[in-house]
Amino acid sequence: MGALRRHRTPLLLCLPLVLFLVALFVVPVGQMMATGLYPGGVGPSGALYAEVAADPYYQRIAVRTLRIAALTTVLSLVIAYPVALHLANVGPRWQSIIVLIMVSPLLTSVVVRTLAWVVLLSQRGILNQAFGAVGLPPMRMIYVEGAVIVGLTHVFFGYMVVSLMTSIRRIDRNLYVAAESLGASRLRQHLEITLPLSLPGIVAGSLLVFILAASAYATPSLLGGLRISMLAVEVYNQAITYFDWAEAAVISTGLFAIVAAVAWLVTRLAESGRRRVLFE
Amino acid sequence: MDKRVTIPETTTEAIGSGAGFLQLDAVSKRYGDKTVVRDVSLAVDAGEVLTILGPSGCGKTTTLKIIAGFLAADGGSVRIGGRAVERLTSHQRGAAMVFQNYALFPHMTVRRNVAFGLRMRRQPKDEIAREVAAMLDRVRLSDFAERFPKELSGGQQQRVALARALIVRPNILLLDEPFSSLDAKLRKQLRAEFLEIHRSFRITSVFVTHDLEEAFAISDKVAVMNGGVVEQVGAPSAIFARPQSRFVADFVGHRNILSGTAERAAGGRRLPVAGGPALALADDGPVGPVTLSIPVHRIRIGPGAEACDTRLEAIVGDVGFLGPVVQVTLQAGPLRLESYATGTDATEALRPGDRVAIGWNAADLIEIPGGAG
Repeated sequence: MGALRRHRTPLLLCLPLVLFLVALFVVPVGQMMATGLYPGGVGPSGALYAEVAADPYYQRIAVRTLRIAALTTVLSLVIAYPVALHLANVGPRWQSIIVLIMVSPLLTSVVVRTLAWVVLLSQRGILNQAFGAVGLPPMRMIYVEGAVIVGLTHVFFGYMVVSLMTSIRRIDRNLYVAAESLGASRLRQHLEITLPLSLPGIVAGSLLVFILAASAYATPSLLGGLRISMLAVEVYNQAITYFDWAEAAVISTGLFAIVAAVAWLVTRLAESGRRRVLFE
Repeated sequence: MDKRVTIPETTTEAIGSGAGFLQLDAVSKRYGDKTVVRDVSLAVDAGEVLTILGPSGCGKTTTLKIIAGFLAADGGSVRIGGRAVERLTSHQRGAAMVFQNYALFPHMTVRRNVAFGLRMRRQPKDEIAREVAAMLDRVRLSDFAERFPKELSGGQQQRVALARALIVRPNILLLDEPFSSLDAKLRKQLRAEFLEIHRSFRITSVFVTHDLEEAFAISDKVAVMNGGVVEQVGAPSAIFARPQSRFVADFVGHRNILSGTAERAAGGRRLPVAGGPALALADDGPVGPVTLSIPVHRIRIGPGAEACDTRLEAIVGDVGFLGPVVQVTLQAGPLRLESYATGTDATEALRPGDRVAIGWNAADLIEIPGGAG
């Protein structure tokens, strides 16, 4: 009786969240996916799904979305790793100060932060004015993939740092002492110990940044414009500009499927690695 | 930058063997205005096991870290094989450390853990494979080579830690309380395994522990530390039989420590006890203030007491049955004594409140020099 109660209580406590998710996530997403099956109100038919999947325009955008999300993830990882490494090694007081500074951009709106990049990068922006002042020709820095990647990295890199730092800090300091006394240089210590043992943080942070970047809307639409469209921007255009809800639903489903597939694949890989190494 | 070591003009004389392979001379370490290690001088002969024994906070781990090269001393010198090593890293000193939690690399197999030191030296791959295989064989881990540390028992983990440290042929092996987190049975087993491996490799070892039994069981020599100072160095039996201070006596298990003023009496010396009888002392000692211990295992109870030269009447307090021995507290007048008696029908029949005859021989009493301090 008591045991039963103990088992049942947590389940009951989860119920509100489950109901919430079903009502506000599963049902709408399911409905959205179904919308794609009724183009023009007739159906059900998979014709629109097939059409969009075969369309070279959408294929190009899907590939670009994947590329931008992947490059944003890699760039964030490269920039965040040294920061996280340093953060994991400073005292708790400095740590909270630096984390606060780093997280503070997250307190402003994405649009505001991205507009700042527009001011910086646009044709007559601050950077190009500076180039002009020293006699250089203006450079195309906005509405290119690089601009979107830089903007997205700026927005999401904090998540990467926090995720990396957590796993780096969990590493037993004695491992470094042991490695040092066995003749490992600082660099070798990081390659042999820090890198492999922070893998859970690398996976978690990368997954987070990848998902956020792949489904980003504000940054690509402001810094990529019409030339560098991404899937989320396409969804918005179809639904709001052209009122084609069916096509928007199909693209949404595609984006959802791509992100879910990548997340599943990465998690599977990480899990198999984790089981081998038997982390707690 | 300036890591010059200042050697005081008058160094305390090294205690113990002079022909030390590892020698510490007046080593000190301060944190702020707190001196955690003060003028520690030790000598360990090649192949010996020295244990630094002391309560937590006595400076034993700090001393170990100074030997290992993880910490720089503020004063004094450390020599390994006659060579001053203050400016050398732990690796250059040839110091290998076994940590309390072993600090095995959790993401590497046993084989890769053991190979680590050789890989860092960039030895040829086939040579590493050969040496690792030979080492695993020697520590009986060949069957576990592809396991990860988490998949091993405590004893196996210890053997991996030792193998990883020993494969680089260190000059000295340093062990920081490697058994302290384990239960008593496993601890004894690991102790035996450590001794077996030590006998096979004969690496000069320094062991740190707060556990008396452990220190006595594995060491050629024990250094008892207290408050950053080495109070006594010697073979375990010598330390137990001739503790040089009250702290050492207490720490190595002397329970019945008395202080008083010894006086000359007919036929020898005696120690008057306030409100009680005067205890006979061995003839060949000083008069004046003395501290002495009545060793717990020298007190005879019942019939055995008759042959003793000091006999008292006592009331039995607590009786603790410990298997082969019986722990008995005794109240003899003002003296509260603790004794360990061999478990016999007579001793096991003792009950609290019993009146018994107890006794010991004056020659068995241990006088503790400087015990008053």
